[in-house]
Amino acid sequence: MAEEQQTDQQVEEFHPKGTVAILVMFVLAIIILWGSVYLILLSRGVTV
Amino acid sequence: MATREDSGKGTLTTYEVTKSDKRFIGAHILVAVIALSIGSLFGPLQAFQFSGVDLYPYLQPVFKSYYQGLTIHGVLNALVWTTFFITGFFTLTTIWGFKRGLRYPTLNRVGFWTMVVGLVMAAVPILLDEASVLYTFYPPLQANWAFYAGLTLVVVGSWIEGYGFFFTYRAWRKDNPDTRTPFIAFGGLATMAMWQFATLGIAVEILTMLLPWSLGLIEGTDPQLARTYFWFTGHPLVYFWLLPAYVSWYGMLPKQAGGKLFSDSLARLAFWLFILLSVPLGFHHQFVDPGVPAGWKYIHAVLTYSVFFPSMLTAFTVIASLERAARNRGGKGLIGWVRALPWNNGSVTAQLLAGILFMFGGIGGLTNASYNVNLVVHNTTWVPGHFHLTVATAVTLSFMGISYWLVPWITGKPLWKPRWAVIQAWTWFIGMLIFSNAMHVLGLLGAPRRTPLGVAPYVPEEWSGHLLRVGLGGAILFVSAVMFVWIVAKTAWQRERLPVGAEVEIPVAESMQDPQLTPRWLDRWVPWIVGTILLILVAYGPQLVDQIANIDLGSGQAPTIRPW
Ligand code: HEM
Ligand SMILES: [Cu+2]
Repeated sequence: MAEEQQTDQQVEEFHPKGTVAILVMFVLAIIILWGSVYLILLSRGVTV
Repeated sequence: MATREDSGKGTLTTYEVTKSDKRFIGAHILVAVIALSIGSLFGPLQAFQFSGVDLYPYLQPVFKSYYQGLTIHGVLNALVWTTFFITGFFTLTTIWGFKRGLRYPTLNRVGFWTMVVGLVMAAVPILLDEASVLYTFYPPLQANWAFYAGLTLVVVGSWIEGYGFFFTYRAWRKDNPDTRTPFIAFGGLATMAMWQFATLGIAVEILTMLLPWSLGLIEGTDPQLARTYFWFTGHPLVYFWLLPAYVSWYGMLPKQAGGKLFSDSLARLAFWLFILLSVPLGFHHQFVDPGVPAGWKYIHAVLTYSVFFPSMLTAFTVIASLERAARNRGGKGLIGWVRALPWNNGSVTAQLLAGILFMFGGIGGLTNASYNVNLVVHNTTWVPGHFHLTVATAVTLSFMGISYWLVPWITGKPLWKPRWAVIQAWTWFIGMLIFSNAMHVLGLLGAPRRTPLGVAPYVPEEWSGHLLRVGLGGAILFVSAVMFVWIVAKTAWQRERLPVGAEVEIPVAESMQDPQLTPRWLDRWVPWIVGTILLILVAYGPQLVDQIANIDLGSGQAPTIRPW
C-alpha cells in the first residue's frame, strides 16, 4: 500500500513539459505542411 | 482486487516459457525475415530504376517485369513480413502477459501452418508471372486462382491464431475475474479482434467474386464493388500493422528506456478508439472512385479526422513516458532530455527513429485524408512516399528494433555486434529521409506511382534531381536492410550462447499507476465491440447494399485484363 501511494505521488509531481513542447511544434508542422499542399491545390485552379 | 500478483506489474518474470513455444514464435519470425529479405530486394531495384539505373534486364528470364517485381515487393513486405511477425509477436505478448501457455497450442500451430501453405500457394503463381496484379489485386486485372486462394488461407490462418489467443484469454479470465488484462496481452487481443471484422471485406471479395471469376465459373467482375470490399479491409490493415508497434511503444519501450508507462488508462483508451475507428473509414482511399456518392466520401473523410484524437493521445502518452525515463536518467532542458535516452541501444534507437519518422507520416496521412487536398497527391509517388514512412518505417523499423531483443531471447544467444544494430537503425532513418522526401516532392510535381519512371518518355527536367535522390535513398536503405538480416542471422546462427542466468529479459513496462486503478470500462469487451459493429453498419451498410444490388458481373462491363 505504501508503495502504491508513492507511485501516485510521483504521477502528480511529473509534468511532461517537454512532451507538450514537442507536440506544439508537431501541430505547427502539420499546419504549415498541410497548408502548403492546400495552397498548391488552390494554385492549380478551383472548379465550381 | 483478488490476485495482486497478476495485475501486470513487476512479477511477470516468474513464468518460464517452454522451448517449443520459443521455437514456435521463432518460426514466425524466420518466415517474416525471409519474406522481408526477398521483398526488400525489389525496393532498391525500383528506386534505382527511377534514377535511370535499370537492372531489370539482368533479371531476365527469372523475373519478367517491373510489375512482377512490384507485386513481390508489395505482397512480401506489406502482407507477409508484417502478418508473420505480428502473429509471432502476439503469441509472445499473450503468453508473457498472461503468464501461461496457449490454451490450445495445436490450434495456433494449425493457424501458422495454414498461413504457410497459403503463402506458398500464392507465391507460386507470383513467381511464375501468373499473378502480377500488385498487392491490391484490383480487378479487372486477373491473377491465377491459386494467388487468391493462397491469400485467403493466409487470412484464415491469422484468424485461427487469433482464436488461439482469445481462448487463452478466456482461460486466464476464469482464473482472474477481477484483474485488469495485462496491457501487452490486451493490445494483441484487441488488434486480433479488430482484424476479424476488418478482413471480412477481402474475404467476401475473394470468395464471391475473384476466385469464381479466376476459375471461369463467372464471366465478369465488378471493379467498383471489388474496390469497396478491398478498402473495407485495406484501411484497417494499416492498423493491424501499426498496433503491434504501439504495443511495443506503450508497453515495452518505456521499460527499455529506463522508465514506466505514463498512463495505463490512456493507452487502453487509445487502443479501444483505434478498434472502433479502424474499419468505417475505407472510402478515404476511394475519393476519386466514380461509383461512390460524394456524401459517403465526405462522411468517411470526417470519420478519418476523428482518428487524430487517439493518434495524439498515443503521441502524448509515449513521448511523456520517454520524457519521464530520460529525466530519471538525468536528462535536462525542455527538449534536451531527448539526448539522455539510451541511444546506444539498437532496439531503442530503432523504435525512437521509427516514431520520429512516423510523425511526418501522420502529417502526410492528414493530407491524403482531406477530400479536396487528396486530389493534389492522388496516385502520385507522394503515396508510396507516405507509406514508406508508416508501414515501411514506423512499423518495419520498430519490428527490427523488437527483433534485436526478441531473437536473442528466442535463441538464447547474445545480439551479434550490438553497435551494428544502432548503425542499422540510423541508416534506415537517413535512407528513408532522403527517399521519402524525394518521393513526396515528385508526387507534388505530378509524378505517377506504379510507373517505371526511368523509362517514361514524359519526364520533365525538374524531376531528375529528385529521381536521383530516390535512387540514393534506396541504396542506403538497401545497405540497411542487408545489415538487419545479417545481424539477426548472425545472432541466430552463431555458436556463442548467453551464459546461464544471463538470459535476455522481455521488456515489460510497469505503469506509473497500478493497472488495477484503470477504470473497469476500459477493460470490458462487449460495449466496444458492439460499438464497432454499429459504426461499421452505419458507415458501410447503405453503400454495400446499394453497390451489391447494382452488381454487374457481365463480361461486357469490364473485360478481363492481363497486360503482361
Ligand atoms: C528496402 C527499402 C525499400 C525501398 C528502396 C522501397 C522502394 C519502393 C518504391 C520506389 C516503390 C514505388 C514503386 C512504384 O510506385 O512504381 C515502392 C512501393 C511499395 N513498397 Fe517499398 N521500398 C522499400 C521497403 C519497403 C518495405 C519495408 C515495405 C513494407 C513493409 C514496402 C512496401 C511497399 C509497398 C506496399 C509498395 C506499393 C506497391 C504497389 O504500388 O503495388 N517497401 N517501394
Ligand atoms: Cu486508409
